[in-house]
Amino acid sequence: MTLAHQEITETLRMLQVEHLDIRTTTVGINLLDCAGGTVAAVAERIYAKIVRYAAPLVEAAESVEAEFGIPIVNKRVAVTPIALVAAACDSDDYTPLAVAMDRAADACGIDFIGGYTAMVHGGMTRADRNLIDSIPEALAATEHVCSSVGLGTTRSGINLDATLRMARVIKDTAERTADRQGIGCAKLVVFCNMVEDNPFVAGANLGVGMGDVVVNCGVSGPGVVRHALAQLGPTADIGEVAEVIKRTAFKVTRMGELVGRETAQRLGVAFGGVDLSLAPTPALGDSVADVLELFGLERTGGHGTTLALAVLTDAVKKGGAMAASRVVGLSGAFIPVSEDRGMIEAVQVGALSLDKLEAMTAVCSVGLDMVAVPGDISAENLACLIGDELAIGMINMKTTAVRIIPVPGAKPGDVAKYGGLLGDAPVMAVSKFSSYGLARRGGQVPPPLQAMRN
Amino acid sequence: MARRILTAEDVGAMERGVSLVVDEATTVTAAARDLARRRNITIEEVEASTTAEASPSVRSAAGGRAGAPSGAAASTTAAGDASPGAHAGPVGHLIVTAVGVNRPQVMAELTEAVGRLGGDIQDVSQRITGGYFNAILVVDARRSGHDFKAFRDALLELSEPSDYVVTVIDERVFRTMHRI
Repeated sequence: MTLAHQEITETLRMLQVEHLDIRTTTVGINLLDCAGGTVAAVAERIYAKIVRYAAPLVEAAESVEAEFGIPIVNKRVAVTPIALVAAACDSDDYTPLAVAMDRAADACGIDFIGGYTAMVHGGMTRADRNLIDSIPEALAATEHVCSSVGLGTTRSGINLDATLRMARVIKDTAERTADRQGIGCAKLVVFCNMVEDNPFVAGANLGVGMGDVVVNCGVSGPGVVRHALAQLGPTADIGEVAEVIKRTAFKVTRMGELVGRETAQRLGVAFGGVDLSLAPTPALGDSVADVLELFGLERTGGHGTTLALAVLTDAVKKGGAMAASRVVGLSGAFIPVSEDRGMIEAVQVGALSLDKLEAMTAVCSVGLDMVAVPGDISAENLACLIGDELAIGMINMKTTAVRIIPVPGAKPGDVAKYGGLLGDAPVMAVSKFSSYGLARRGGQVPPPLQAMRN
Repeated sequence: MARRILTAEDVGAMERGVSLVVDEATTVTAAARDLARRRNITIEEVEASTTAEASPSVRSAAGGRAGAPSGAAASTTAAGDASPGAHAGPVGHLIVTAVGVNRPQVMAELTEAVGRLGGDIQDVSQRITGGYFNAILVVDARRSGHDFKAFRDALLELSEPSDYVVTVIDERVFRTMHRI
């Protein structure tokens, strides 16, 4: 047989034992043609266009799942940043647009819809301010809507005024969902170097140059990489470790390419590309921290964790880039604390601190993700915590993000329980020293020398 | 249930003064409602079970059925050729596997079932390890006359957890993973 017996059993083992799945197929929908007129009219047009293109998504994805035997965990939608769509509206309250997105998500049977978004890295328009100020209400009033704000880029620097404004919005969002331990913040993320074709929530959105309707796909696979490293054993040198990860990432990404293309074809829309990220879940054996520990670390967070994560992220990119026709999104390794059982344990035994996480984000694909901190952190300190992360992205010309939950009433050592894919977030200690003066300076952080590439 | 969208373009293609009946699976856009008011077209929304047809139906002002305008019919159905919709792929080559405790007749049962369904077995591999068998069949199902679901479900009927377990997966999954 042209396919070897061993190859077939390897694939089946990945699918049936090692949690290989497609983390998300996300339909990106351009909503610019919904702009203009009253907020109510825009909301109705948004609802109609999303439903028109996303309603068949679940059925299409489920038929691909059945035929390929590979689970597609999430079926989602990303839309044009709503601040652009809403700019011509006659009202300053954009909450009805979030509600329309939420209704459309309900009608289509999808769990999250991203794109309640503004890009303010170089300054804010009236629409940007309106959208940012409406985020707490929009997230409290909806179940499925995710919001994201681009606060900086390598080319433009960092908008410090907007960063402090967003710190207040994050705290307000947590307060409005205090009865559920600030879960609204799990649907809100801020970025430096935000990407426009990210299929993963909460940062999913469809940039203005990305076409009308497009399917992007995000793969998973920590369990598969973990198994491959376990097979390799503890004495192989680091080059062999990287090679095994690269080969495994290739195979995982090929599944994403196949599933994404097939889903797009069945929907009759364009296929965008694959996000190569290793995305963990709270399920046993589906942890990026477990993979890092197989490098030879007693616990994630110990010395060497940043080195191991750098090797892992780079190998995933190299293997995935060969397997995909086009790479989109964030692509690397996600380290969301609450969604990764190994990360949670590392925090709880004192191996992993917020400072170490920050260092790790310099070499991973995202940033401080699903990190819970005490709810009494000041807006200024939160803005500077975000600013540190944005600076790493700006200087290193990479995407960094902060999805942080100031859990109302919580203290370090508490655990905020969200359940499902969001998992449980151990509340991490923050600096007790004030950053008030820096946050209050405001203004625009100048773009670094790295920005001058023309 | 497929969701349909009624747009201003659809309303523009209708005669003035008609009455349009739509079910709950149809979304009428704001612009469509505005145009309907201007053209004196009444839009009546009813529960799905009370409409006899899958598409919105149009009645003349006198109450008799005037028939849906062709332009509206094409663009109000989400599964229409020009509209987005989920289309299942044709059945092709499949990898059929069976794993379980070894006993006589297992391969015979598998091949008989595939043959009965009209599948053409292209390749067979079987390993016995520690009293367990692991059988893999490459099956060309293109001329079987069944769609994927029917073909798979018929083979899955052989599965019995205390005996052996069958899986059926599109061959492209394996080829894509291991070949460039």
